[in-house]
This record gives sequence, C-alpha cells and structure tokens, in this order.
Amino acid sequence: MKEENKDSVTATALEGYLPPQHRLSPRGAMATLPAAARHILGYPLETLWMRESSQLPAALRRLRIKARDFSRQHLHPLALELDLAGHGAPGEWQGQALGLVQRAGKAGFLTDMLPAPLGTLSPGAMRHMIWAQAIRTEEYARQCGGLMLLLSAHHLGVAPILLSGDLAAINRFVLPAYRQLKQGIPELFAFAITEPGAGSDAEEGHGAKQYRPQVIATRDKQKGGWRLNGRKCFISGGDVARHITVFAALNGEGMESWTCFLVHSDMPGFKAVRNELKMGMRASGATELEFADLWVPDTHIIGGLRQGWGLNRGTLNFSRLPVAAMAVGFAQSAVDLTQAFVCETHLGGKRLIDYQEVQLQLAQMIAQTSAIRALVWQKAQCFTPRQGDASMSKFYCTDGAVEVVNMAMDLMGHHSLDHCHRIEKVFRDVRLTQIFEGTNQINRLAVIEDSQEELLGQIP
Amino acid sequence: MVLPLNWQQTNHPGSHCPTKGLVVISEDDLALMMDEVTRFTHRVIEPALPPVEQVIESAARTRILAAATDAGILGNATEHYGIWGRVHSSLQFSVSSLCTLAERNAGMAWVFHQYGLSHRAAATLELDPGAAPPMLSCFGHFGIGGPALCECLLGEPMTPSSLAFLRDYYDLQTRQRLVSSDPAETLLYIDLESPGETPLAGLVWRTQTEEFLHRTPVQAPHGLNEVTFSRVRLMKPGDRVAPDAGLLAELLYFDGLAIVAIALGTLKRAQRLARAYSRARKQGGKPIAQHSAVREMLASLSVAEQSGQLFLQAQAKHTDALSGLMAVSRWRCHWMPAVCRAINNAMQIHGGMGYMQDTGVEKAVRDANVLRVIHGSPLQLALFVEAAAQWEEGV
Repeated sequence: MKEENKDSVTATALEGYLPPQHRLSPRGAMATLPAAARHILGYPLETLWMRESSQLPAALRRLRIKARDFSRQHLHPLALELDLAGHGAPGEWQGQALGLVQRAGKAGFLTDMLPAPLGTLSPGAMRHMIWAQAIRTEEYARQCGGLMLLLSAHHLGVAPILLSGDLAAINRFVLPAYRQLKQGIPELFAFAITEPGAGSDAEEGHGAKQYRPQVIATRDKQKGGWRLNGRKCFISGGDVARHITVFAALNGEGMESWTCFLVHSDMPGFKAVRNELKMGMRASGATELEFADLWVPDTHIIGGLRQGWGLNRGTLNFSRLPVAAMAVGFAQSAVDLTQAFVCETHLGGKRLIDYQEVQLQLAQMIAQTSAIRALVWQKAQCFTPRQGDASMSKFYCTDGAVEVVNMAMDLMGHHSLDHCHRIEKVFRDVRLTQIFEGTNQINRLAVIEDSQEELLGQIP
Repeated sequence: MVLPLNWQQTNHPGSHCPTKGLVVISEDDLALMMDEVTRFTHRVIEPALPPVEQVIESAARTRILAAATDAGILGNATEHYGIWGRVHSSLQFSVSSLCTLAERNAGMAWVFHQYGLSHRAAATLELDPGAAPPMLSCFGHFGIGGPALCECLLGEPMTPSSLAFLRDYYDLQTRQRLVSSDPAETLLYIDLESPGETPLAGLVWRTQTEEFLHRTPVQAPHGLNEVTFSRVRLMKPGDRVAPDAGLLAELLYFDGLAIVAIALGTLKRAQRLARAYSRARKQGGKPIAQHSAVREMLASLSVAEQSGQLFLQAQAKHTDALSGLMAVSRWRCHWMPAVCRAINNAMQIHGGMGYMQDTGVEKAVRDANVLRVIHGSPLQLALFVEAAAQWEEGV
C-alpha cells in the first residue's frame, strides 16, 4: 500500500517507462544503494547540457554559460523577424541588428580573440582559443544562424591578422578596433577570398594551381603602395564591415603570389555592390565587393608579400572548426525544438513523446548531436588545428547536423513547414554549413591532402 | 480514341474506385495532350515567372488557372476533364501533367493538383454543380492517421483505441489542420461518420465558412511558395454528406501520386540546373562535371529521376484505390528521402551559387522538403503501410 502511494504521487512517466523514481528505474535503483556505492556510481539530476559542460575547463564552462545566456536573451527574440526582413542596401544597418552588435561588443563577444586586457578572452581560456570560438559559436547558432554569422564573420576577418603574427599589423588595425568594439562601436572585420569565378579554387591547392586570379594588385610606381582591381563575392558581413582582409594576386603572377591586404570600407575605390538573396542565415549579408583602382599603402600588407596563400590556408584551418561547431548548434536547436514539440503535441489521446517511434528518432537525434559535439571538442583542444582535423570536423559535423534537422522536420511533420515553428529556418541555416568554408567535398579532399605523406609512405 | 477503364471492384470499402469517367488514353492521344501541357508551361507559366525566381503573384496565378481551364488542362465546375478529371482524363495524363508543370514551378503544380482534386471530390459527391472548387482537407491534424486509418479503410472492425485515435485525429473543432487549397467558400473535410459502429470516414460539406470556420494563413511557409497554406478550425460541426471511405482512399491515392509526380518534376528541374552548371563551371582547369565528386552527385540525381519515372509508369494505373494508396505510400517512404538527398546534391554542385535564390535550385530544395513531409513523412508512411502489410498477413 505504501509502495502504491509512492508511485501515485511521483511524476508521470512516459509511455513504456517506469517513473524515474521507481525502484526499477536507474535513479530509483541507485537511490537505494549504500552511500559508498551511490558516491561511486553517482546519478546526479543534471541535463545532458550540464553534464557535457562539466567536462570543460573552468574558463570554457563559464564562457559556455555566458554565451548561452546572451544568445537566449539577445539573439532568440530577433531570429524570426530578422529572417523575414528584406536585405537592406549594402552599408545600411538594420536597427535591431546594430543594437545586437553593440551589445555583443560591450559584452566582450567581439574582442575575444585576444586575452584581456588587449581583448576580452579569459586568460584561462587562452590555451584553448579555438575551443572557445567553437563553444561561443555553437550557442549563437542554437538561437539564430543569421545573427550567429553576423557576430562570427567578424572573427574570421580578424583571424589572418592575428595568425600572421605581424605585431605591427595587430597593433595598427586590431587593437584600435577592439577598443572601439568594447565601447559598442561596430568596427567589424570581414574576410574576402571568394571570387565570382572561384569558390573551391581558393580553398585547395590543386585547383588554385590552375586558377587565374581575378582580384589583382598592381604596384603603383609613382605613389608607392598597391592598386587593387576586381571583385570578391559571397563575403559574409562584407556589407557592414569597416575593415576587410582581402586576398589578391600580384599583377602577372598566379595564386602563389596571393597577398593579404587590409582594406577599409571608406577607401576610395571600394564599393559594396550588392547583397545576395540567400536561402538562409538571412540576418547576415553575403556581399559582392568591388575594388576599382583602390589604393592601399604597403603598411596594409598583412604578413608579407606573397604570403597570402599560406595565411589563407591557416585561416581556413582555424575557421572550419567553428563552422563545425555552428552545425552542432543547429543540431542542438533541432533537438530543442523537437523535444518541445513532441512533449506538447497530442495525437490520439497521448503525447507524441509517448509513441515509441518518436522516442527512437529523438534518441538518434540526441546521440548524433552529442557525437558531433564530442568531435568538435576533441579536435578543438589544440591551439593550431591541422588541416585534416579541421576539415574532417567540418564535413562530418555539418553532414551530421543536416541529418538531425531532417529528422526533426520528419518528426514535426507538416508543422515543420510553418516559419513560426522555427525548424524550417534551422534547415535553411544549417544547409549553408555544408557549402561555405569549402564545400564538404573539398573538405574531404583536404583530409586526404593532409594525409598525403602518410599515404605515399604506404605505396610499395 | 478513349476507352473506359475497367476498374476492379473489391470487397473492402477502400476499394471505391476511380472508375467513374476515368479512361485509358491511347499513347498517341496522351502524347498529344502532353504536348499541350508542355506548350502551356512555356507559353503561360514561363512568362509569369520573375527573372529571379520568386513567388508567382496572386493575380498571375489566377490568370494561369483560367488559361489552364481554357486549355483543358484543368476542368471546371461543369466539365470535369483535365487533371484528376472524371471525363477525358487518365491517371497517366494527370501525373505526367503535374510532373511537367513542376519541372518549371512545383508550387503551381501543387495548386493545379489541389484544384483538380477538389473538383473531383465535389463532383463525385454531386455537391452544388457550378460552384467553385472547395478547400479540401483529407488529413487530420498530425500525420496520416497511422494504423487506425488503415483499419478504417480496410473496413476492419476497429478497436476502441483505434476509434479513439481517429476521433482525435479528425477532430477539427479543437485542433487545427493544415490546408493547402486556395481559400474558398466551402471546405470539404474528413470526419468519422459516426462515433459508434460504423467507423467510416465521411465527407462533410460546409457553406458560409466565415460563420463556421476559423482560417489562419500560414506566414512564410518553407516551400511551395505559390500555394496558400492555411490552418483551419471549425467553430461548430458541419453538414455531413455521403460517408464514403472509398472516395477517401481514392483521394489519398491520387494525392500520393501527385506528390511523387511533383517531386519528380522538381527533381528534373534540379537535375537540369545541376547538369548545365557542372558543364559550364570549371575548377582545377576542367569542368566540374569531370570531377568524380560531382559525377557521383549527378548520378544520385539520375538514379532518383529514373526510378521515379519507372514508378509512375508502372504504378499510376492501379484499379483499386486502396492497393494504389499502399503502393504509392511505400514508394514515397523509400523514394522521397532519396529525392531530397539528390536535390541537395544539385545545390551542392552549385556551391555558393546554389545557396542564392538566383539559380532556383534552393527553391527546389525547399519544395522537395515540403513534399517529403506534407501529407505523411517517411516515418509516418512506414507505420501506415506496415499496418496494412500485417493485416494482409493476418497478423
């Protein structure tokens, strides 16, 4: 009788399961063990998010909580509205997006590629800079892909300057912008490599060898410095960036001569031509940039003449892990939305979560999301990731995330088609992660390229 | 020359047949009719499309529907020919037309499908000849009715739990349903004929919808942007007309065929775009079509296209609505994920360009997604067809 009463007052169980406190459930069973056994086995009442957070170094754990709270408070409320808002003219800020960038700047999220006091990265996280980027990016993406990109593309623009180790350039360009950003002034950076005739060619050596560059830097023999001519396309955040790291070939030379130039958006000859009409991530512009006889002084060369190709490859190794992390964020978003949907939707007198087929599919989504997160976290622990590690994370996690989002749409059925249920937006957003920073096909080839010596050594 | 189709009649109620008026058309006649659809697509739909592919505006859509009626591709209130028509039509003509239309615009193909199917349902029930086609809702508030609907269509004695399930599934007073027909004065929807011993689905006809019906337009749907999606809920019960599980099976069968046909047209469009792009775009000094990574993706498009074509040729002629429904449900369950993967590959072949609206391939991705989940996701279809299979085996 006492046992029956105990059962009757416990929380309801899902169909097919005993209540969590039941003596035959894991929590109930372990609660009856002696204290020493309970201590060893443990079964704390924690969510998966909390359990995974507990595995992080303390500084990253704090960052994860801070990024989650910021994203929930500032990204989530804007996500649907800015997704539907039309693209403005290049250079024009959408009011709410500007407000978000200002808040992110003041919160230290736009200056955390350098440790305090130069930037805002916690010194404890400095050893794990890419891991920190990955954690922050995942939490943004969990709430909104477009706003995530608006806030993250800036770091990609800064990356070549930092990775060049060129202290003069860091001092000249990054630190003043960081000071402004911390005060809420939107001094954003962008990264420009893609050209109208070349996506993949700018991402891998074999293609680059054959490619004829379209943005050309010509020496100004009278004035000194360089004249840039040509166009870059699909530049994330290129419409609102104040500073752009532009990769250009020297006149008469091939991709081996690629050089990174720092261009300010107010330089004569610079024009943000148009914003693309994108499928998703619509709160961030993908912009075509034009350089018409744009003059840059020698002091705006980042890392040295003809060093751009190496800097580009290094930057992509740096950036592909955060792309993998954003895919994890989209997968987590799909899990979040699906869980809420199946718990609140009833069919045939019971909740959807009470149907076994729903439980099976949801379990697969949770496991797959956790698995791709584990891959990102494992590969992001080193300070400078190798190409193979970055690329395998990128293609594996983004493909996995798309599968999770597809499963979410299948589970939500026709409800998933409604913009207000958010999952269709998540699909449109996650789809870009399979394309940018090198298509997943290019990233697969990059894994093999990185293993080339190892493979050659096995050829008899 | 047209010949009446000898539809088989079987014993279970779901075997109501699409006999009335449907005919077998000779290959030559079908070819002539399809020429007309192809010309119509080029002459009427193409010019209505904006240069950058976006939604066809409402006024243009109305003109297209009127032109389609004039061309005999759609019927009207008194002449039930054209897509899903009861006179001078055939399943092959309907699915071939929808596929051809979808090759240019999947949303318009869906509008044609819903228009034709609504007309057919209204004509079969002999509702108010001369009226505009009603909104049509063959599905409940979530999924496709699962094993319970299967029992109902098979005419099996239903268990109390199945009855309760269907009663909830079709409850339109407390739950909203998604409707993809144009707004109209009437709504044809499915309900249980009786909560008692005769668990047949029935069609209910309602007039003066503003008094009885609450309709909320769906804002910014994922795809098929030319379609007016709404969520509807009844304020009070409608009038019942002719309980008819057979008609329901027929409507579900035709709907499944339409989804396959429109998905096939969408796939062909994506394939055409991907082939053209892969021949023009060079990487590493040669057209990307010559790279294995791209060939493999192009192959996925070919395989899905060929298999879809074969299915429609073989299966769009079931004489028994229920067996046709099961065949098309099995096929969708297996094929629609493959279609979505293939169309996603078309986008992948385009690289960054594919993600931009200019190419049209991103619209194909979204449209295919809609077709995968609307009126039954693969998981829901799997459970539905397995229930029927178990019934056939006597489980």
